Amino acid sequence: MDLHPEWPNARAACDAHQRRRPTTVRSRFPLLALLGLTVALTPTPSRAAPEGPPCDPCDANCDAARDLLDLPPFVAVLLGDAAPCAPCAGDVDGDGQPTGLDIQLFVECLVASPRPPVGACCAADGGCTVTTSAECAGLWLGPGTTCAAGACPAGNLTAYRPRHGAGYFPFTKTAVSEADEMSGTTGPGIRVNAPGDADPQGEDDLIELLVERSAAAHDLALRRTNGALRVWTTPNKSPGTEVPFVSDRTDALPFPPGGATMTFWVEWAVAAHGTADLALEPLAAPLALDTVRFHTFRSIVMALGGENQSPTVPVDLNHGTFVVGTALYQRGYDVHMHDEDDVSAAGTGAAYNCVVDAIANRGVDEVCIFGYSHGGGSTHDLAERLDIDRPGIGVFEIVVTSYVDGIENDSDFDVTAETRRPPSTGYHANHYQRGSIADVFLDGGPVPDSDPPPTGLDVETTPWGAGVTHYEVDDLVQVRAFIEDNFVIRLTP
Amino acid sequence: MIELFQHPLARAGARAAGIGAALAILGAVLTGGNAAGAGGGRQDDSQQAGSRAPADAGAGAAASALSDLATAQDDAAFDAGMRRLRGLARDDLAAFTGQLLTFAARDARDPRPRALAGRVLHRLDVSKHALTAALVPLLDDPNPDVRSLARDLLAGLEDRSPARPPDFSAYHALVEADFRAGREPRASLFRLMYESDAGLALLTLARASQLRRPEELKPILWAEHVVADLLWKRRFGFLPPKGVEPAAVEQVARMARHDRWWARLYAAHVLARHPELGDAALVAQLAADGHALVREAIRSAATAE
Repeated sequence: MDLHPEWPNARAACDAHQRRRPTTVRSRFPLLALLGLTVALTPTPSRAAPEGPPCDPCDANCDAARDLLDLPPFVAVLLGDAAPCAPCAGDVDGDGQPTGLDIQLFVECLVASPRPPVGACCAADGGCTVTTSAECAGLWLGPGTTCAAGACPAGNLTAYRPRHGAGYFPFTKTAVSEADEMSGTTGPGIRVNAPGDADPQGEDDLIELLVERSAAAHDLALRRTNGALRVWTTPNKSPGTEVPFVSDRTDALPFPPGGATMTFWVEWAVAAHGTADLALEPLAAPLALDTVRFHTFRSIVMALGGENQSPTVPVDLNHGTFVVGTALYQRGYDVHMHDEDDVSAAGTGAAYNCVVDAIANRGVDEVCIFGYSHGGGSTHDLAERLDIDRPGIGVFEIVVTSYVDGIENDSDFDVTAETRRPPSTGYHANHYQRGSIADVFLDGGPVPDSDPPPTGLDVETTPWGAGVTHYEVDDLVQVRAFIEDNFVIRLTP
Repeated sequence: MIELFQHPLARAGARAAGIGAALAILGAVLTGGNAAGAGGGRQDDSQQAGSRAPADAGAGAAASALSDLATAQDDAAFDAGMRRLRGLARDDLAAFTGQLLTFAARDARDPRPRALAGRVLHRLDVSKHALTAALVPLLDDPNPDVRSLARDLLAGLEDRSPARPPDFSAYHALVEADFRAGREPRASLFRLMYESDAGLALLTLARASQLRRPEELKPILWAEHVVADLLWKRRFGFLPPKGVEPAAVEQVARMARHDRWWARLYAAHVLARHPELGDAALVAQLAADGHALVREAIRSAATAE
C-alpha cells in the first residue's frame, strides 16, 4: 500500500531492507526479539482497514518521522497498552493488525534511512525550496507545505534621517536608501540619547523606522546586536510604549490587525558610541528578512546662512549654505541650520547652545561650522566662543570650517570682510569675490591658512566665477561642491 | 597685496544684468515711501542737548543723496554721492543718522538697503562716540523698525566679541552728561545697556552717576564681582551650569534692596536670567518697585517661575 504520497512504496523499501542481516538487527534490539516471541502468542484485536489520509505504519508516534521515538509507542500498541495513533501505526506488514510479525519489519524500518517529510523552506533572500526540515537553512514552513506565492514571509525596514523637534524641518523627511542602510557612515545615524541630554524642542533623538511585511499571516520580530538600541512605538518614549527585547529579540511586533506597516522609533540609550544592527525576522525563525545598521553621531554640523536667509522647506536653491547643509544631511550627518542671527557677537545664542549640548550630553567630539556672508562672521564668533569655553564644555575638535564671502557680524550693518581664521579649526575653506557697486562692495577676503592654499580662493580669478557678485557667490556649484567634498573626507558622521 | 577694487567698466559684460537689478531695487526703495525724517526727537523735551528733529530740507537732501548713491554707475559717481552724504552728516549727524536708518528700514525682507547704509557709515568713518550719540535718541523713534535698527547698530558699536566684553564708554559719556545736568537719563538707553551686559551697566552707572564715596561704591563693585565670579565659574566648568553660591544670592538680594533704582535694576536683570539666584519674595518685591524699568525687567523672571 502507499503509505505516503511523496514517499516510494514503503513496502518496497522495507522489502529491500529485508536483505540486511536480521541477526544484526536482533542483536541490537534483543528486547524486540523477545517481544517478537511474546507478541506472537498474544493475539491483538483486529482493526478495520485504515481510512483517510495515507498512513505510515513505521511512524508509531505520528510525528511524521521514523526514529527511535517510535519505539515505545510501537511496543505499547503491540502489548495493547495504548491505542495506535493512526489506523496503520505498527501494522507494518499490512495485515490489518499490529502483531509480532510486524516487529522485524518495524526494526528494519527504523534502521533503514529515514525519509523525513518535506515542506517549503524559505530563504533570507526571498527564495523558496521544498526540502526536509533538517536540510532547511531558513524557515521551514512544515510538512507538506509548498512554495506557493506568498507562502514565505517577507518584510522590509526603512530608517529615516534624524528629526529636529516634533518633525523634520528644516529638512524633508528623508529615507535612508537600501544601498546605504548597512553603511556605518552613510547609513542611519542616531544621536546618543543618554540621560541628561537637553532637547529644547522635545525629545527628537529617536530615529523613525518603518516596518513593512508582505502578509499578515506571519508574525515578525526585531533582533538587535547591541543592547544600546531600544525600540518604541512613540517618538517621545511615552510610558508603556517600549517594545521589550528578551535576549536581544522582541516578541511578535504589535502590528494593527491585518496591517502591513508599522512605525517604530529607535533610540540609542547609552552614552557610549558604537554601531548596532536591527534585523527584521519571522517570529518562527532567526531568518533576517532585512537589516539596518545604526551608527551614533560623532559630529555636529552647523550651517549659518547669510543676512535674511533662513532655512526653508524645500530648500531655497539661492541659499547655497543651506543647499550644502541639506546635502550633508542626506549623506548621513547631523546637520543643524541656523539664521546668522542665532549667533550673537559674543558667540552665544541658540547655535552655541546646540553645539554645547551635543558635546556635553551626546558624546559629540567633532564640530563643523560654515557660513556665508554674515554667516561667515558668525562662524568665526561661534568657533571662538566654543574655543574659549572649552573648560566648561568638554573635549572636542572643530574639525572643519568654511566661509563663503565672509563678513564680520557685529551688526546687520557690519560690512567688514571676515578675514580672521576661526580659532582652533583643523581645516578652513575660504571662497570670496571682489565687491563692486553691484553688491555695495560687499566681499570676503583672504584668510590665513585656508584652502585652496594659502588663503582661499578669489573665485573671480576662475572662469566659472568671473563677474559673480556677493549675492551669487554662495550659489556657485563649484564652491558648494568644494565645501561638501572636503568636509566629508575629514568629518566623521 | 591684492587690489581690492577694479573699475566696474572692466567687468561690464557679465555684471550688467546684476547691477541693473540691484540698482533697480535700491531705486525703488528710495523713491517710494515717506522720506520725512524719523529724526531724533525724544518724548521728554528736556533731554540731552544735540538731538533735534531733522529739518524737512535736510531730510529731503539725505534721501536724495542716498538715492543718487544707490543708482551710481561707477566709482566716481559713488564717491560724489558719498561726498554729499559726508557734508550732510557733518552738518547734522543726528538728523542724517535718522534718515539713514529710515532708508535702511524700508524693506525688512531686503538686506541690501542695510548693506548700503552700513557701507555709507563705514566710508563716513564717524567716531564711535559721535555715532552713538546720534543713535541713542533713535531708540525712541516712532518707527519700530528704526528703533530696532538703532539697537542693532549700537550693539555693533559696543564691539563685543567672545573674547572681550562690550565697550560702554560711549554710553557712559551720555549718561554722565545727563546726570551732571540733573536730567533723568534715557530709559531706552538703560534698557539697552542692562540687556546687553547688566554687570557692566551697573558699574557704568555707578561711575556715571557721580558717586564719590568709597563706602557707596564698594558694595556695588563687590556685588557685581561676586555675581560675575559665579557666572565665570559656571562658564568654565568650576560649577554646574545652574550651580548656586550663597554669596551670590546674598549680593543679588542686597542690590534688590539698594536705594539706587539702577542697582535694583541690576538685581532685576540678574534674576530675570538666573531665577535660581533669588526667590519668590524677592521677585515680588522687585515687581512692586517704584521704578518702571525695574518692574519691567523683573516681569520676565516672574514668567519664568
